[in-house]
Amino acid sequence: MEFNPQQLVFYLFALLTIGSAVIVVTIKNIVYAAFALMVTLFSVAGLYVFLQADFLAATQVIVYVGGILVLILFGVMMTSGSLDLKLKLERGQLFWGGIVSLILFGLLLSVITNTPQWENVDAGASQEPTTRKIGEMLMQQEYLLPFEIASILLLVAMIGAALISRKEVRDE
Amino acid sequence: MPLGLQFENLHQFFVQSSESWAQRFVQDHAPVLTHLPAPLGELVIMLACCVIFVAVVPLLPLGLVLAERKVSAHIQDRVGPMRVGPHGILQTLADGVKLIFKEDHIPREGDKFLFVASPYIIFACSFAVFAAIPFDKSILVSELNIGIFYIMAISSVIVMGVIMAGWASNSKWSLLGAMRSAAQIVSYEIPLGLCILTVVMLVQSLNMQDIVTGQDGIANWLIFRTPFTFVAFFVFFISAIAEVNRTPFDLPEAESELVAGFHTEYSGMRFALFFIAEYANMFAVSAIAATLFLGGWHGIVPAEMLPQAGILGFVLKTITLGGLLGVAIKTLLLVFVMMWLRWTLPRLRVDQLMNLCWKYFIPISFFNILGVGIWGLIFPKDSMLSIIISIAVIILGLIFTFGVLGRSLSKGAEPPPSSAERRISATT
Amino acid sequence: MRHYFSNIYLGLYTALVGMRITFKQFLRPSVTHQYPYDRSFEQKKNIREIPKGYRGKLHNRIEDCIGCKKCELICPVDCITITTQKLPKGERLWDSMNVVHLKNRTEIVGNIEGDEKPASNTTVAIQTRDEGTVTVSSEEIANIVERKPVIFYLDQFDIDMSLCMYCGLCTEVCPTECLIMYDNLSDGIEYSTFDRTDLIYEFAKPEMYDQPADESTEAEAAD
Repeated sequence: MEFNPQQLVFYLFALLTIGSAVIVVTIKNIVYAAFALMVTLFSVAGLYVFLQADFLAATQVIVYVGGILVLILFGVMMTSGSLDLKLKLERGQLFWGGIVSLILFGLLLSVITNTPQWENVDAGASQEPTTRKIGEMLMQQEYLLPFEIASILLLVAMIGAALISRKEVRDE
Repeated sequence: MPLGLQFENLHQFFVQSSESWAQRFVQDHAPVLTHLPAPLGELVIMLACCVIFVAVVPLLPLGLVLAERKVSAHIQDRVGPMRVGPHGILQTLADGVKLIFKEDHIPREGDKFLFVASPYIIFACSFAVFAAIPFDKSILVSELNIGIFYIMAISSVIVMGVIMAGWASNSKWSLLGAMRSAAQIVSYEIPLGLCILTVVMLVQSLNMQDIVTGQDGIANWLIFRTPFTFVAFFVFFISAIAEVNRTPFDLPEAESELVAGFHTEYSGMRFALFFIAEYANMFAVSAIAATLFLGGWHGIVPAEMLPQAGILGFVLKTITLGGLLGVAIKTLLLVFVMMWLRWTLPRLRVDQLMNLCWKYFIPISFFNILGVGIWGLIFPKDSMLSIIISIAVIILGLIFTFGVLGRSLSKGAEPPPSSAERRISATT
Repeated sequence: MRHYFSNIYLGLYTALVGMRITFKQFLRPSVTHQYPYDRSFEQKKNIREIPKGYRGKLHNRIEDCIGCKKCELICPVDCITITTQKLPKGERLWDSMNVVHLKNRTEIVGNIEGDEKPASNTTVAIQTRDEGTVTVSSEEIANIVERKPVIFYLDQFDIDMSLCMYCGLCTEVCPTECLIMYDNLSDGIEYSTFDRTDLIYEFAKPEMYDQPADESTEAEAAD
């Protein structure tokens, strides 16, 4: 195959994704696992870039790295004793976990192989913003209801969290 | 190609059009590179973009640190650094040299790998922001379709570096600073994003160049386009100050409480990296504010009213705050306001900080979004009428707020008890 | 609800008021004096003299010193080092004499006729050793000291000002008042150096004696 720098970058990202994901599941230190997860999520965003999904890539970074991972780290650091926690795998866990991941892998593989035809993104497509398409899909077409339900769910979760974390103030 | 991956067009994502400034720069000044085989040449051009920016951007902190020291000195009736060079202009350089030669100390009980890695994450992220900020029609490293969203995404990664630094230092000051910083940045990203959203709703594009293109002439600047963007500008700017951890929102590095916050344990060049990143961030958010609200590289006067060619055109463009230097002037003015605020206001308390964000900025921002939406329904296209109405509303609103309403509002001022006070009154 | 808007308004308004004040300060010229480089403030603020009795840099008028070592003894921090050579018994370097310090910082060594402190507004005739009789007005005289007969050669008279604690005891015990602390702007202050060894002042001037000390008479001073 002809040498292609973009290919090189792609394989770099792929290697980073898989390598850091392996670190996440094998490493004993929980904070290291969280930081390895950051690398994984970031390189997945890189892979999205290769799929011309620019909005998705940025969303991946902003939501997972900037939001969820920070919350995970907050949870880890604020929970006393969790820093000394050694993540260990039991025999049985390894067995069942392996089976579940094999099933998931098979599922993904069957989807990949059964897809009749991969759509090639042509050169002109990258010029057109993907955001317009996403916006139309979310606000005008089939995904409006799931979108609204998700936002209501989030609102309920937020109110619930505020209610739980609120300190009770006695009225005089 | 397996799995439908397309590698050929990747460069269009990074260096999008053939109009790219860096590409032309390479063609003009290093034509040898264009004779390279196509993929390699693209790689070289990409690298050239990176190198130029990474070489130029550190010069900004060099000047900004001195400016900060001078501004603070003059506000306090001092003169600031005077010895190194005329009026101390080389002071930062001397400090930099000093920092390079200092011992690179790594805490023994700390986490060495993360400790070493975190300055690079912060440094890289605050520099990556510059890739999408347009400084002129053609001076832009990468014209991304999702420009402003990319900036938001990349700057949110800085939090990870901060937490990493705080945890790896194995110091209570560092960890507390990192925690505060993370909480603050995550909270203030929301009003920041919502203010950007008001602009994006008006422009209907995330592309930074598209955002700038419509703002030709001061009347077309987005800050004056609707009364809501006028409010949004201030919310954006204050949130941006909080986002870059500056006074009055400098709790993460509060000297009197936390020594220096998350970078307490750092010394030498690693400390310098934090420092440079901090000032680069400051410049970046000011440049973004200038681009989004203050016309970017468009000046006060519409471009067609000015001569374009020659030195005269350039000078006139700069005087009317257009072009590369115009953006720089606007940005530096905003940076000056940041410094000015730093030496005016005392630090907020943690609960005040969170109150400001969640109880004031976020509702205001949502109101702005609603308002801009309604405004867009009333005036689907920007016209002379809409702009005149908008400016009139802004001026009347200011007069009304500070003249009429202010008197009654300032009388009814009794700040609600803080949470600490409330807890005391609840227990007694 | 009213609180809410009041808070917004006051937050903005007070910040603006504060910013106005700091901006005024920003425009005001700074009050800093670039002291060693720019000394114009000394004239501006009429700073010419430092108060009398100020304890500044130590100085020894070595010509008046009799090598009694009282200062070396009394110094609490041992910053004075003196080495002397005793003259042979019966010899003296010079006899008892008056030293008249003038206000223009020169001095005349000689015997005052009458050996008394002169009354004001008179002229004083001084019989000097080299220049015959000199008459000065009593207004010009700052101080008259008696120079005791000298029986020592002073080989070394070093004061380490980096050790000195400015107690001034040495100046008080000095019998000839030759050891003084400067209390004027030009000599008393501003003697910082880049090298600590530059703060060791050597006052002894062996060349001021006509004859070098005889080897055979070399002896440590009487303890």
